[in-house]
Amino acid sequence: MKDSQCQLLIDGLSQQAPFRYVDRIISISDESVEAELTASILPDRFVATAVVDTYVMLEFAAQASGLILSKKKNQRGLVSSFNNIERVLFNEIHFPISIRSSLISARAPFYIFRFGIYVNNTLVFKGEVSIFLS
Amino acid sequence: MKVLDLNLYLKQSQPFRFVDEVLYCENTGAIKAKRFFDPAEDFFKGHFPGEPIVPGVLIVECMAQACRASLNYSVGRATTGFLATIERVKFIRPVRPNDELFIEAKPIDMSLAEPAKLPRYCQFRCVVKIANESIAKATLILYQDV
Repeated sequence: MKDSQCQLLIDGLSQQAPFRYVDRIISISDESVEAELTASILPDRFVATAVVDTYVMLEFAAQASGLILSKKKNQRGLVSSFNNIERVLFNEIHFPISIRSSLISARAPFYIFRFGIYVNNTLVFKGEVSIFLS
Repeated sequence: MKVLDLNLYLKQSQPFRFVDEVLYCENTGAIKAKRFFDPAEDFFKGHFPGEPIVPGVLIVECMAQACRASLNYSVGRATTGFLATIERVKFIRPVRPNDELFIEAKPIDMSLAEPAKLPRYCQFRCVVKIANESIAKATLILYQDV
């Protein structure tokens, strides 16, 4: 997809500032997404050296995974569960962070994604998120 | 149950404190906490515009902070740590402005009752209710730098 189309997808997310946690789509298909959160969209909330809280990574995973559903279905979803969430790196995590998320189960209305969050290509956080399409 | 002084036992402060009160039973390790969601909270503007719902990740944060306060009380100070693992968290129904959450948690390993033997990892089973209705459940493991 072109950058402008990717930006339209992000703009189309139901979550808006100050609760938008995706900055850029690196690549996206009907089954997977790679995206980045640099925190540049919320400069008053994060500074470049801010420690990334667990809730930020969970929400980043949910919103980035939701982009696949936005692309395919153009419907709003709600997180119904997180499973097997594991923090891999126990040092402080700083921006930018990136995610690779893949659709692993599509049994409407529940869609399950497996994701990994990376800092400089090092896995720091992983798990699964289930999204319920309302 | 003992009311914990959150200014002593939680590093998180406003606007990122997601428990209003935490009660702790030293004999059983049981934790009870509550959190009221004021309609003026900033995140409601974006989640979602025109239809405010408390993000599920902040309900997880409520549970984690309630458990963290009790852990820190056992240690005697506000330690640093992380939410290491969420085996499963299930959101049963949406939480909206003016809802008050009641969090009930219990350590699965009872070493919490013996502060001298505190491990670096503690596992908790949590239930979140509004009135008497369960709205979320989770099993969390917190890591602490003791």
